[in-house]
Amino acid sequence: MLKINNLKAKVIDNDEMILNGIDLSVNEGEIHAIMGPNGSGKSTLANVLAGRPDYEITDGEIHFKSLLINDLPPDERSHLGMFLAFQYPSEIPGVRSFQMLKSSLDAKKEYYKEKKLSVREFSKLYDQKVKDLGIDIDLTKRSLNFGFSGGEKKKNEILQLSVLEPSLAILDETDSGLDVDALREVSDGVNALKSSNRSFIIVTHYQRILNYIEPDFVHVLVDGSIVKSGNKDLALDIENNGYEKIISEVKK
Amino acid sequence: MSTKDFFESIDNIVQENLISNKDINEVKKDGWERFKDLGLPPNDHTRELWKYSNFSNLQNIKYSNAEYSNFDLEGNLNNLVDNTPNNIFIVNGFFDSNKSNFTEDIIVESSSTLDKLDYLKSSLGTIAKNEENELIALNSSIMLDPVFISIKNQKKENSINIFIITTHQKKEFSSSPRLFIEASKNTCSNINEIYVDLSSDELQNLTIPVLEYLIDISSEVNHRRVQLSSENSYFFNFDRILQKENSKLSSVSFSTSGQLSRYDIHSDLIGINSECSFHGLYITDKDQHQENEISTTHTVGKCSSDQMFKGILAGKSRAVFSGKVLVKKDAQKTKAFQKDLNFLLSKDAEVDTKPSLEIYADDVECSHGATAGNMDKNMLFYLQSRGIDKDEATSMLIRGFAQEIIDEFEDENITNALEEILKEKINILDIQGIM
Repeated sequence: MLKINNLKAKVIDNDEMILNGIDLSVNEGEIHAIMGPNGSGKSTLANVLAGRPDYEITDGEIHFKSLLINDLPPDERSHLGMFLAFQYPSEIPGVRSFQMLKSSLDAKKEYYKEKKLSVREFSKLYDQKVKDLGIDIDLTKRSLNFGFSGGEKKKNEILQLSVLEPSLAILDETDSGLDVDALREVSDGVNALKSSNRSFIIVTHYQRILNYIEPDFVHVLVDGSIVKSGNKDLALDIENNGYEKIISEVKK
Repeated sequence: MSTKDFFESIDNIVQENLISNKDINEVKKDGWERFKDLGLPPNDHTRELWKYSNFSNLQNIKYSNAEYSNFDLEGNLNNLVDNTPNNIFIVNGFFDSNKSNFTEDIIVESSSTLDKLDYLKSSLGTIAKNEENELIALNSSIMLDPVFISIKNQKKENSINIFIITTHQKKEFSSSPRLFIEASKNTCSNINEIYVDLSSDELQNLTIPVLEYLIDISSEVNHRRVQLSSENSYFFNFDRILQKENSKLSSVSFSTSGQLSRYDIHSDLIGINSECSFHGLYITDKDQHQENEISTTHTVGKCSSDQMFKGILAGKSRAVFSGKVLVKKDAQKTKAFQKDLNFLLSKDAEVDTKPSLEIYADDVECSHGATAGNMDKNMLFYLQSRGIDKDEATSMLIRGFAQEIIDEFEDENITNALEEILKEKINILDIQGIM
């Protein structure tokens, strides 16, 4: 599904490297957690994978579904089946969730030369997903993410995820800013979307979300490199002992 | 060509189109005397009002009256006609009584047919005065057939459509629509004012609409204006409004700029508890220049005014927002709000925004604000990450900025039409070099 080789990246117009040679393979149906302290490059990795234009890949390769995607624009990565749930989803004035998602799906259908859904067909699909996720219907009538609470924004990301049905979903600190109830709701939404051909990368500071969404693999990112990988027990170890222990082990 | 040609061409229009009604012809003569004396506004920055406008090109054009040809309204505009029994057509400056139809709730007469509205003839030129400025005087000089509308017993559900149409033209023309609209006591009306210019984009036409509104006690007017200028035209719009007590005016406008455009609105709140709001959206491109001069005078207390203009600027275009609120000494408990929001789509686009409040009363609630922003790259990436390509994402964000104003038009026939127009317009805007 996803194969990253020796990925190095930095912010454009800035010499400081943020990702210093990442290797990672994600197979179909797997759930990978990427953990790390502040400033370790977790969010950068998520954004570089999705193609944010602020970053420059200086070395290495990203293969997605056997295609080299280093230079693909974000929209084409989306069509190929990649989805980034944002840590801070943008508030977009005047654009409604329904309208945005209809355009997204239309663009995808066009890319694959498939028939677009009619407004009625899409409406039915959309309403069902909104209902399934327990999203307040009034929110969908507002401008996208405008005046949404933290929890509502994240739920809205999951709504987009469920409509676009990507093969790889990258959740960038989806748990940040959520209270326990909202975290459970969002996690339930994600769990409902798990399938044998859909993979997840969960980027997080804390082990907390992994209690709800159980990872197959956990990787620890420090200074732009994966320094340790393991199973879910590694996340528990971090929760109990902090990142310090791992960092000092690595430095030995 | 020279300035002389411009004046001679205008002089011809004035002399060849005398108005049969003596009183109204006096307004015309007075306007022409003043305009001859003043000429076009000077381009020497000596007067604040015209500081940013350059009339030098206009002086080189020779104008004539528009010539009549058959026309058809398309799609959404036709639906608009079908939706109400009140449709008023002003074609090439003349009231078209054959095409127009309306219920007994309103009276519409033009200068050549004044009868029931004869009492209004002496009011023409009293709200929009020739002595105020040279372009109002120019409108009076070349107006062909002023139209008087009196709303007598109007129900809100029957909108009043006013179509101001220029048919297809082969050479530069001047058009000077003049309307006097009286909203009688206790009436409530929706007025849609639609400008349709069917001439070609290359022509540097001159259009100077002047509208005088008398909004009587306890009447309510919802005014919507759609004005689509052809690219190289000159368009100067003057609304002059007098509002009596407990009256309410909400006005929303959508305009695409010509070469040089001016939206000049002034409301006088002379009766307590009256309210006015002026919201607008405009789009400029290339080397176009648009001015929005919006002002309200609060003479008495307990009134409110609200101004909100949004600009979308591309290319090397320039816009000026000048919002003025004057709160006189006795206008206590006044509420006044001003907002000017701009979306700059190119490095070379520029907006000068000058919101101003002049307050002589002590118990008032007033605020003003202005912003000018560029394309937000986080929003753009967000949409792109959802599979929407950069061009479409850009268009979506611009449309999103405009949506708030478009929604205020409420009527679906208009909002659908505006959304289409905006979408097409965005496709051809010069937005290079912002990212």
